[in-house]
Amino acid sequence: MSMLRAWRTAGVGARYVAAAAASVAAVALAATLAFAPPAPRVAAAAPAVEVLPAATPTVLVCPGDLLIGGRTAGDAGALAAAAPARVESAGTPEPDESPIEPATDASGPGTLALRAVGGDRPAEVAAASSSRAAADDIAGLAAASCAPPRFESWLAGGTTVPGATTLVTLANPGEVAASVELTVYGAAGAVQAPGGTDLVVGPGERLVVPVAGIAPDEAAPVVQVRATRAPVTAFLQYSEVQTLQPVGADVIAPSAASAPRQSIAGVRVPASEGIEPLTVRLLSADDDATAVVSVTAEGEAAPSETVEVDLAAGVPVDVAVPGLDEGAYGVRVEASAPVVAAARTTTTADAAWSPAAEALEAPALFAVPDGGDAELGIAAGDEAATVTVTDASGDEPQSIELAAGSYAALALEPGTWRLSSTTAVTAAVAIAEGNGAAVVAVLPAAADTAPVRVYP
Amino acid sequence: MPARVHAFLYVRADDRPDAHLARTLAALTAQSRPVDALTIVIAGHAQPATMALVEASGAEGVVVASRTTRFAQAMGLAARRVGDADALWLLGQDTAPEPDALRRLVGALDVQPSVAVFAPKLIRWDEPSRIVSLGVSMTAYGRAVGLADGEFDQGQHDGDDDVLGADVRGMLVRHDAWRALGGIDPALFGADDGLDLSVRARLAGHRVAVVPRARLAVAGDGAIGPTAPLGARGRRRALFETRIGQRHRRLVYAPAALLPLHWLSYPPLVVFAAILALVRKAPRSIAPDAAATLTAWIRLRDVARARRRIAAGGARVPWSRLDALRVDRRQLRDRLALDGIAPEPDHRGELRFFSGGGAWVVLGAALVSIVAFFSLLAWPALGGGALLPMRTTVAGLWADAAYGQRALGWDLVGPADPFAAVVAVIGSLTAWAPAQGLLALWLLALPLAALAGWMGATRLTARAWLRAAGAAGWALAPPFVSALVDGRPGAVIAHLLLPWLLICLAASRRSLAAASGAGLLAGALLAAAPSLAVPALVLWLGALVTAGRGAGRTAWALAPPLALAAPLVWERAIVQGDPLSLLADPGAPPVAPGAPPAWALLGGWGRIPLGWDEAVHLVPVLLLVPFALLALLSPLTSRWRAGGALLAIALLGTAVAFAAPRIAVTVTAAGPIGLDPGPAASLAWLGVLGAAVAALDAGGLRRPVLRGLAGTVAIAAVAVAVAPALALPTRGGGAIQNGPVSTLPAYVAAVGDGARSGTLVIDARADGYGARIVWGGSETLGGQTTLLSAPGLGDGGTDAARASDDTVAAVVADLVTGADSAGTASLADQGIAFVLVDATPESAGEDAAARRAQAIAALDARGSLVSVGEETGRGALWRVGASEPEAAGIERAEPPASVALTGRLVALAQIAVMIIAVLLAVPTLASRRAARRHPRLLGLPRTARDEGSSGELDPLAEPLPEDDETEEAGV
Repeated sequence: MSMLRAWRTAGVGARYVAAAAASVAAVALAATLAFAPPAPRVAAAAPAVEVLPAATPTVLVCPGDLLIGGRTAGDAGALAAAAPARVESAGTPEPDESPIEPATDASGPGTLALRAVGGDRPAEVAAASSSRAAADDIAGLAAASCAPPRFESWLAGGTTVPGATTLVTLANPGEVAASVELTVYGAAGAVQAPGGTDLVVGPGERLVVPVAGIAPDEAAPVVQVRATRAPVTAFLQYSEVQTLQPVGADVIAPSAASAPRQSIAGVRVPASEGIEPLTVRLLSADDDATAVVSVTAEGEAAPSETVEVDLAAGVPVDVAVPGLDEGAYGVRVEASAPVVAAARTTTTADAAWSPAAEALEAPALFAVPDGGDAELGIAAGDEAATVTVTDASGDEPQSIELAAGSYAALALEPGTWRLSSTTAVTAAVAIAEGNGAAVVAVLPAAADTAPVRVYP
Repeated sequence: MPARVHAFLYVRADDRPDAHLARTLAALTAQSRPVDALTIVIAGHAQPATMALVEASGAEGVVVASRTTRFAQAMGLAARRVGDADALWLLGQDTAPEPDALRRLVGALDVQPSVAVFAPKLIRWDEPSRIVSLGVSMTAYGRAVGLADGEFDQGQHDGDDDVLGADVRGMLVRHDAWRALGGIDPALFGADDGLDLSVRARLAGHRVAVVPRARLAVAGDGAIGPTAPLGARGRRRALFETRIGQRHRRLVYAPAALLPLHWLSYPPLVVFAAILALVRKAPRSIAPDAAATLTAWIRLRDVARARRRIAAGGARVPWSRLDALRVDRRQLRDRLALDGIAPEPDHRGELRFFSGGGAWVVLGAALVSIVAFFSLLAWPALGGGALLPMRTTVAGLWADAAYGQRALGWDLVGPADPFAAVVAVIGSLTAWAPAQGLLALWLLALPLAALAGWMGATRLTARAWLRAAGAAGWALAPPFVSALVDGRPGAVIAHLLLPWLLICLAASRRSLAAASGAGLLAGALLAAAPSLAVPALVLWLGALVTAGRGAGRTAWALAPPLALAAPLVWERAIVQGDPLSLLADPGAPPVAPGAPPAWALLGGWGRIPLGWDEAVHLVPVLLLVPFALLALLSPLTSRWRAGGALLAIALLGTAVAFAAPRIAVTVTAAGPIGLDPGPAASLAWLGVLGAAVAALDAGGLRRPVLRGLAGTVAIAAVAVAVAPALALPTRGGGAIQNGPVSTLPAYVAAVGDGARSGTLVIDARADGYGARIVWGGSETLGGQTTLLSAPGLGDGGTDAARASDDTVAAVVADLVTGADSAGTASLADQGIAFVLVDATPESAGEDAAARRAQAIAALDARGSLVSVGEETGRGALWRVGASEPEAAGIERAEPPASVALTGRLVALAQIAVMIIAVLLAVPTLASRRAARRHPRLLGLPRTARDEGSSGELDPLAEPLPEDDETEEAGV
């Protein structure tokens, strides 16, 4: 019996010891775990796939025939072709041409879109069109490069004073209808009018809207085109008659996007017979700003003329640059706020609008339309550049060395050319034929396709 | 002239019958009235020893037959030797008559000319006072019923005479009657040989009588007559013989008109008998039963022969004359009741759920639940956290749970997560609106947890206040409350099931119903919280090792979870070779990414305590210390077995809770995230709570007042710790919210609900685009698949998965860049009718916003997509197909036939296992009676258990003296 009790006592004692040991171990383990560094993890990786998407099609829409209104008896608003467009185009692969139909009866004739689909890289397409009008109500040389559709375009140029006609052409080369809103910046600031909002441009259609319908009697309008759902290609078509005498016509391509620095190439100041052979139109859309316009002559590095101007927010200003000799010039604008810019040169019988050009960072294909003597103007950026111009197939290279900030000009035959440069430059082709003048901008090539990362 | 008796002795050589045969032959020699002739029939090749016995027996003839010759056929062979005998005595190797047996039988033969068949009283070979058989009757449906089988022989049947039938062993049959009847039906397998012979004799106008004073000892070898149900094989054999006799006789005795009906009823009868066997927890009887029924079913020629034999016997007596000798329903009931009349020990006592306060705790928990989740009462659906909308139809719910096309992914075909089946069950409970099933689960969670906790506590204590404390402690468990407020359905379900699982697992060794219940619970638990797979396996192994002879039952508990998870395990572990991904939490991606700090895990929280400021972060952990201290006391008490086991469980749970967040197999937009440690924290909490209850129950603190105080303090501290979390929903915090009915824009939900079209959902991220494909009107909880959410630890799963990833990536890249390609065409071909660019949260940054704008512009510009909504709150939506009819025709391709077939087979197998498990788990009167034989408390010292089994009520189940009232007041 006592033996049994002894056993039992021993058992209980052993249990106590064991329990105490277990408790101590538990506490020690707890403390270890609480302060131990985190153990290595086993982790799965998110599956990610890097894809190079097929190239986006390269689409250019040409400005089309030069339009003139008021020729149809009984329908003053109807538009008619004043001069046919001659299109110079090239590309790899060869672009398909598709017609852009007029959206309304009042939109005049249609135009055409060029479309090419590349392989791994986007297709390279260049096109420009020119028209030569010589009529009682419209006369002059008009030219512009065909442009890709965009969601936002700035059109600086034209005027809506009596005697002048400025039309906005909105072409939608896409597959779905675009809804477009026009804002005209004038002396009173931004104007939106019923005629310029909620415009619907159907797929493959072109709509023509007179700027005067939104902002009449505006000496220096700048039109902002904003599209949603689908991008559109917008141009201005300008013609003016002064005392029954046509004084100019032009097609104005969109300016480079609003930015504090703008560069305008292809300015060719004619022999100074009239007044103000060169004016620069500037708009700071959102903020008051101070802008410095400097004009650099061909072959020079330092500006030959500098004009400083104050800009009120939303009010475009035409800045005259006096005292220039005949010749090719590059215009640079530096402002304290983003600005939109374009330059106008005036001859006795024509006006040529040169929009601010986009910088060319990669080799760009461009077309020089038939219609007159063509001269490629190249404005260097902040760095010196070596520019090489070849024909489309890469032959006949012509090299030009440019110092930083300098400007150079190079005569070219009509056709397609390729411009490549060591640093970013801007370029445009000035065309002159008799007293007609026009400018065709050199547009940058479509950006290379970037790989897209997808987490499926 | 005295009647001549010719005895036939049938020996089955395969049985090694020497011992039995020697006694039988000796008994024959010792007869006070010797047999006039003895013929021995030996089936099979007899050993020399047997032959020696036979040769020494003085038999007039020995017939040697092949080993497949059964008694009936053997008699057919041997009966030719009868000659001019008046009666045949049917004996076997194991039928030893008492010396007077034949004299008494012949005496009856002489005086009862109308009786053709005389049967002795059969007694046990080694226990003469036990009757084996004395007369056999049958019910109205033909089931054979022994009239005195198994009774103690106290002479109570010695006056009996007229019976319907009798066991064939030792039967004395008049020779002329034998000839007229055609002997024994060889289609029977021993069990009903005698009954059938007697019935035919009755139909021929003879009588059948028992001669109780003639006694014959039988061993039940089965050579002649039925096999004794001894041992597993004997039981199977006996059941087979009985069943084939019954089935065969039914076809033989049935009126000709009803014969086709009876015959047609046999195949369904097999199924029905199997179901019945499962409910009766006798799965081993299924095979012999089915074999017997099917054998009888196909032996139509034997049936015809037997029916002819009845006709040839001269059916002079109509069947109705036999009715008086059949047993009626009342007699049968009395007969069956005799079996169960032995007093069963009851070690359980009343459960005292209502009188013991369990109901009050559950009610209290329900009140707390209503206050804490008041707004849920008005919500149409529950969302937020890891919750997603439910399918709107029951069919949809179950389709999500089946193998086949998954509800997500480009062309994903594979097994469903087992969790989908759990979701389907919950949704089916509220079939009219499956979304309400989830709401109901949330509202009932607290009371259900209290109930589970209370039931769990009944296994540890009989004290009402401690049970109530256990219930409160389980309902207020920090990991549980966190899961409720966070909206983590897997952790909630796991917490509700854990106590029941352990109760069933502990009982699994002695009860098939409990084992099967444990299996079903484990299936649901592991479906909801696969991270508990390892501890569940450990617990199961523990139960298996300690099960002893009940290991087979415990092993069965593994079948239901295996059946549920088998398709996914196959896909993951075998096909993909990535078993770790099986642990991925099912359902929507978990809420709290990243590993919780160690202090929170150690504190039993499973995550950072909700509702507490970071500044006081140790307070909610310190509040749980009283419980931990009480739990650590438990090994020092007399309940150290239970306490130690529970502490081991707590340790296991804590270890898994620490390991879980470090296994990051699930991948979300924010990167890989660890497993939810919540379920493991629940397991740890169960161990701590249980150990604390056990410690208090066993008097870990000497003074009752101290015990009450300790319990009260512990529970109060837990209540304080979780109160801020419980208050979150009413304060507008917490993750759960008035759920959306669909995760997609209403337009898709309206068009896509029930349709087979899909939606490509693109979300812009800082460095790319996420893409997923949702089929139907919404992402759903059941439609989630870990095959997608856990893409695998290797190099991204199978080739097929990679191929579809590449396809999706190419399509998405083309769509978002506006590339000219067949992107939208392949969308339509695949059955994707909508493209949605998700609303990007501001936190995603400017890059993501720019990407999103670019994607929207590119999609807008596509002619083959039609914008349906610019900003629908869920993002910008496009319809694929330029026209309505074109869009309406876009449907997901039907899966290939092989997939459908696989799906059907998998479903069939799973449903079969589940049905078997459910039938086995259904409690019956018998299983409940069996449960009462064992004390409710687990882990009692062996002495207490032994005392308990002596027939007394478990002393611990009695209301306890001294402290009961005072301490109840304390809780």
